[in-house]
Amino acid sequence: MRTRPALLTAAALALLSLPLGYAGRADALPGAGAPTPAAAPPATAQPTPGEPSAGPAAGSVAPTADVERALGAEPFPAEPSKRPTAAEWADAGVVRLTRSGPATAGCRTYRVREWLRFRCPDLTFSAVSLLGGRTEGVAFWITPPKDSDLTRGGEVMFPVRRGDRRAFQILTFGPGYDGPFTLLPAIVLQEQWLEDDPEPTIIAR
Amino acid sequence: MRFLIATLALATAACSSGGSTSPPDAGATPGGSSTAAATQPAPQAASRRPAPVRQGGTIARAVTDDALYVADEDHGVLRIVPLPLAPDRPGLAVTLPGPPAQVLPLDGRVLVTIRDPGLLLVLRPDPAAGLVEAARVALPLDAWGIAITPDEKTALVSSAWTAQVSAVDLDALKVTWTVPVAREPRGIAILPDGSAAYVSHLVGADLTRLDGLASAPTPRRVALAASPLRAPSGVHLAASLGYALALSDDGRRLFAARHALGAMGHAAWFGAATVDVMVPGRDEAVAPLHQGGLPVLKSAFAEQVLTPDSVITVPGATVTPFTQPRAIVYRRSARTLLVAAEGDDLVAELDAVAVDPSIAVVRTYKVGSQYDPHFRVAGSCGAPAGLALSANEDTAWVFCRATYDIAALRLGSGDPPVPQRDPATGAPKATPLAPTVPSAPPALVAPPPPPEEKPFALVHLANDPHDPEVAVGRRLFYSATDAVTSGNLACAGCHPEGRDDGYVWHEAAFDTADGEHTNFVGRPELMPPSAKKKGYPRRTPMLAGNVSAPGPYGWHGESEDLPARLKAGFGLHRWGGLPQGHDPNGLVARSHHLSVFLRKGLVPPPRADGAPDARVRRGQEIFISKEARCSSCHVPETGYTDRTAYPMPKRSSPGFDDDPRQEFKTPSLRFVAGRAPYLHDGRHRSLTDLIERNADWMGKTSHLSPDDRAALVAFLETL
Repeated sequence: MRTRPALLTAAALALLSLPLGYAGRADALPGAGAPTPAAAPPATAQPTPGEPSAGPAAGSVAPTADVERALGAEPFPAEPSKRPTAAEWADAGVVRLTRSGPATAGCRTYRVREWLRFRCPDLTFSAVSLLGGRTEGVAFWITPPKDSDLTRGGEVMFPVRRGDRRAFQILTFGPGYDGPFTLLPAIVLQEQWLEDDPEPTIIAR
Repeated sequence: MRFLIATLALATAACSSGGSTSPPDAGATPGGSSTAAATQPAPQAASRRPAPVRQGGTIARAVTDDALYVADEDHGVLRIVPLPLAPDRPGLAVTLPGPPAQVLPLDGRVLVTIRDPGLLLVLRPDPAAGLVEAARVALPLDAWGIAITPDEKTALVSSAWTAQVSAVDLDALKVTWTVPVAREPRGIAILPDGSAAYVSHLVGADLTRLDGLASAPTPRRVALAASPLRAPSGVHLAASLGYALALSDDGRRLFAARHALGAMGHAAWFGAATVDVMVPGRDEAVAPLHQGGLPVLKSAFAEQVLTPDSVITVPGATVTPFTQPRAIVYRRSARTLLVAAEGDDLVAELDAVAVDPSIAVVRTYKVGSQYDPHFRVAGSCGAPAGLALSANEDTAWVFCRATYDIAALRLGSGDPPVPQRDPATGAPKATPLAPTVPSAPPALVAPPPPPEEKPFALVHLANDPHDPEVAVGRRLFYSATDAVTSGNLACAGCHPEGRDDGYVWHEAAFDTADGEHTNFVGRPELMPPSAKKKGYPRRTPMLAGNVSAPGPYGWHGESEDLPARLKAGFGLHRWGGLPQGHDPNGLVARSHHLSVFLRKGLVPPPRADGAPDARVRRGQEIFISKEARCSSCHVPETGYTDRTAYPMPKRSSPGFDDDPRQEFKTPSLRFVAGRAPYLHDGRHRSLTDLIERNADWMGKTSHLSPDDRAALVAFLETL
């Protein structure tokens, strides 16, 4: 088993080699259209420089809590808070999403204040994207491969705040139009917290 | 007392005397016509049972729970089918004064909309005939959708072709108001407090909102972009096929099932089916609009295997799990939505609490079966068009319009079972992981829910009202399952009911993985950027009532007859080329059957009778005058067209490429009033706009006075 420093190193290497150039390249793919660049804030699939190193972009260390509580068991803070620290995530509680489909078996959701980490350690993550909604605080993590070229495990982190409407797509590999390694959606995570709703609704299918 | 059961037992016994192997037809109504003149008002129950639903549909459950009603438009009957369903109990058919569109049962009454003549028919139970007419209320032609207020005192009815919504006082049986709305109003949803109603349209993404239903409201257009998560960056997509709306039980969410024109996805030339969610009152879309530059992260291995076709930043895999939504119901007990998908013969159950329910599939139920080995269309339960739920919501009944069947589905409770986890690792057992060596195809880790439920009961109600050739053509027309006819969207996807989607498509030759082919696409962004094309504008033409001529057909008159045009269409309406190895004789057979159906099976929109007034007569004089020269090409005797292609003065169409072929075949003007926008590029939103801005581009109209222009428009509106 890897040690935490080793994971952080791997994460840093992966982040250095991966994220920023990817958003534009993916969006420019035929079939995905040719979106207007700069219409949204820049991708934040990595820690913001200067912020405490925490969250999925800081390493895929699973919090240890086991007891699953309702998503809204604890009230969500009225004011935005900073991204949790690694120590806070280590003590994070497991929460139950509003609804989860069978595709999410093996995945868990952790909550610190208004921040959520949706973590699937056993899923082969080929890619993860935000399909729409606010980008602030959104971060992704794909566990670097260990024994093969295929990654296993990944996370999505985001803040849950009133007014949110978001959808994430986690893709895996499978047979399809691109051959045996077609990128196929494994899980779609959807969050909404409209003004009149007492608490957020988050589903994963 | 199970009044209906007793009635149906008698009637069914009479109907089935010929043996259960002979399906009944429309003429099987026992006791002759049940639409005798109104005699007595419906008896008032001491305590009226609430209506099972407040929105009409092609199928509905009786208040007494012992029968289903089916508005069988093609046979012109209302069918009463006893519950529980049994193959040897198709029930009876009540002949109606015209083709019905929707049925809505109340306690002691059954409301039915009649398209032609436009009527709201009120039926009441009758021991002998099942139902007889109690009253009828005249409405604008093409009465279609119906919904009732919570107090069940008022019915709202949409009149599709004539673009109006009317309110009917159900006690006085009178129309209290009628207001004009946008093209093709269809589904109606009234808020639980009765304060407002929303109307969907077969054409366009906007909904219509009607506030204050007690007196004539001022209709408001409510923007609701289609499938915003699948839109090109920042684009508000248009929609079609807006047949149906549903409300959550608390009225806090409104669901619009329809087709998003130009939605992105793999090989999505046509867009995608969608269920768009809105917050009533605030009229705010729940789903955010897709923008470019959103965060995305790919694994290193993904980077190695990506191709230009890979879809990452819009919902991936198949475009959507259903095609051509035709009906939608809200399942309160599960907070899910059931959508009848006409194109692929299935019912999709979607999560109603999702931002975008079309990417939150709970499960799908395949209702179609007995697929033709050659044409690949369902021989049983093809083209589901209506849905009804049992009182406890554990059963859904589906009416299939292409084959005239009812299927019963046993609905799941909640989600499919979660795969068991390995106790040692916690990993899911039923989700095989990818192999460690990426040379072999990995198993799909988490496949979308497959069609796992099939009907547990099926009743065949009737055979096709026309001959077997038409029947095959009808099934081909509705079905998106035959890869030779089209690429995952049926004829009915762009030509609903043989009419049109009001959309201007882009025709272009571009390269796909399948080589270079000329295809239609919903938006230019769907083409590979390397194509650097926008395509030629191609406004969807209306078919019903406009395809009787031998030929030629096509924008430039390039197809000598209708079958030839259909064969050309098989290649255009897809992504890439026709399936490799297809049998050319199969194209001939398909085009033949479809041609027969288009001519015999499609029903043209209803037309108002009546003598033309002075203004219309003046318009006709202008139309046939030598100065205006309208009739020299739009020849009245041949459907207001001479079917000849003429070179037209060049006018660029914004958003499209210039078509190098400037000669366009004269289009028919039949039914022209109801099919805006106009011209091949849809540049004119109304006939008035077309005449005002014609500038002698066609014929000569610049010399006309404002009154004469208005007269010409008035005449065109009568064609």
